[in-house]
Amino acid sequence: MRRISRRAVNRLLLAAPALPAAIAAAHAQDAPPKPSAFAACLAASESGLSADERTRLEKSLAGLEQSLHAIREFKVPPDAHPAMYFTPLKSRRRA
Amino acid sequence: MAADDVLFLTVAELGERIRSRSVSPVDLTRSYLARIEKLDPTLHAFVTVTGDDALREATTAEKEIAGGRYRGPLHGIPYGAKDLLATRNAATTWGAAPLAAQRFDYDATVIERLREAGAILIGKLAMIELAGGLGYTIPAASATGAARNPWDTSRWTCGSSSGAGAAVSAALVGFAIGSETWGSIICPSTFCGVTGLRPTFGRVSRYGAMALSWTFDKLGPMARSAEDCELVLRAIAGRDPKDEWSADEPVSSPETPGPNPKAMRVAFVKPEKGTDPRVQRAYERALDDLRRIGVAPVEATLPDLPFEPVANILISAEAVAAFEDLFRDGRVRRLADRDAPLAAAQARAITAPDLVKAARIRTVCQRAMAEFFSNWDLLLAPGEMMTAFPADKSFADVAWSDPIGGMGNLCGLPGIAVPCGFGEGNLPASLSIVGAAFEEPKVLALARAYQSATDWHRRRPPIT
Repeated sequence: MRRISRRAVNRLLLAAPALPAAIAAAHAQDAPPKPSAFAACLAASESGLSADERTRLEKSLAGLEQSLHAIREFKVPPDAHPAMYFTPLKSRRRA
Repeated sequence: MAADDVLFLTVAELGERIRSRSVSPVDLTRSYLARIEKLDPTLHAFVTVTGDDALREATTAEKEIAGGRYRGPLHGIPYGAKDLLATRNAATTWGAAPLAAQRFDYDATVIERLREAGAILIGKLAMIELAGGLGYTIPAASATGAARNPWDTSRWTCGSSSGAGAAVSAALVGFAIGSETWGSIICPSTFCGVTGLRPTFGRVSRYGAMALSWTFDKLGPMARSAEDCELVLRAIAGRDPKDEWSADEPVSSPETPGPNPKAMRVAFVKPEKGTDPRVQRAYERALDDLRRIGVAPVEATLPDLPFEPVANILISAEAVAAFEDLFRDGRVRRLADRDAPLAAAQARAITAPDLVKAARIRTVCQRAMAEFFSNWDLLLAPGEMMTAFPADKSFADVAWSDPIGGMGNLCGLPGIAVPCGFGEGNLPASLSIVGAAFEEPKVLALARAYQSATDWHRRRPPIT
């Protein structure tokens, strides 16, 4: 499986929306990721954005899709539950 | 007034002087306040200085100690808190201009616990807006601008605990409380040449702290030694009914001897391609220093798993949910970073099955690292591959990474950054030590052993 390069981790650190761009940059040596049709559609349909923002969004979505691709391609063993927290909440009422 | 030499002492040293009454908490607080007044216009480390309250608390501490009621090693020590921790006495801005007037009528649990330990809150520390939750591409993505690095004020401190890094490094406080979702303690500690501990997820209550990512956020100490981090951790750690994800795991006690580093199985990863050569040399020298004190690090490789993509997806989705109100009412457009308004649209590309699958892969990653740490006690890596970069630079121009930060934060593992020399620009580099969940005693024991054999953590920045 392809690991993200160190350069990509750069903006992965703390900058969520910058992460995809970083990942995209990291893969740039191989082949610059192109936004999917879905990314282009999402960027075009988002309301309230300027043309420049739409362009930046489309580019960043291309990077995000690299992360999504890694997740979608990963084969998860059946016993791996989602690492989310849930516990039934007891009532304060006593019998 | 206390001399600069005193202000640069560790908490452990200051505490001993306060206990023996050779240093007065009131004098110490006044001296830190004077240094803040002198240096903060350059460093931009503080959002709010709570000087009057601090002096009042210092006076109380002094009376208590004189009356024989010494509370412990933090009693009378001034500290700063990242401005995402709620305090009654000041605004809590989360580093964001649209939240400049935000106030809470309660104190975060960490603030309460430090008050019980006798520490003195001297101010709220600068940070990247929303701790970088909606992304940022410039060091100036903060209501207070780019925090400046005391080692070179043209350079940045890193984020998001930017003010904490600068304030500890320049001796504006005895210690600081920072937070980390991904890199926000380790990176500023590295860039600023201080010691920063990222505790295990759940080790420290987050009640009263800004939520960026409920499943990643951690609070931890930044200080001038590993010993200091341990002292602060003991004060702030432990179960809190107000944070249901806080853990009831025992913390090391001062009475029991810590683990023996010489008996530990320590793994290290090789610096990756692109590491600053001087940072690499500092790291290799740190490994040699450890060998000299009887620790034998062995090269290892991490499991080949998508740590970074999974962390990326989970944090992106949680952050947009956490700051939903800012999108709804348009305040997101008043943030400093021009890409912040795009975060919600971007997160819409993540489907619900993607999110659940990412959470399932997180379990796979956790299991793999638990297995890794059944063979090893600790894992070493360079804290960052590079040193602090110019404060006016966009991240687009910077190759920057924390080699094991994605794994450590995804799996909620404790880690510490300890200064280990200097890299490009004669700026600090660090050794990162990561352990299994709730194994802070091992992490701290190795860090303390390293610092007892070296003096990098004693070096002072040139700012005066």
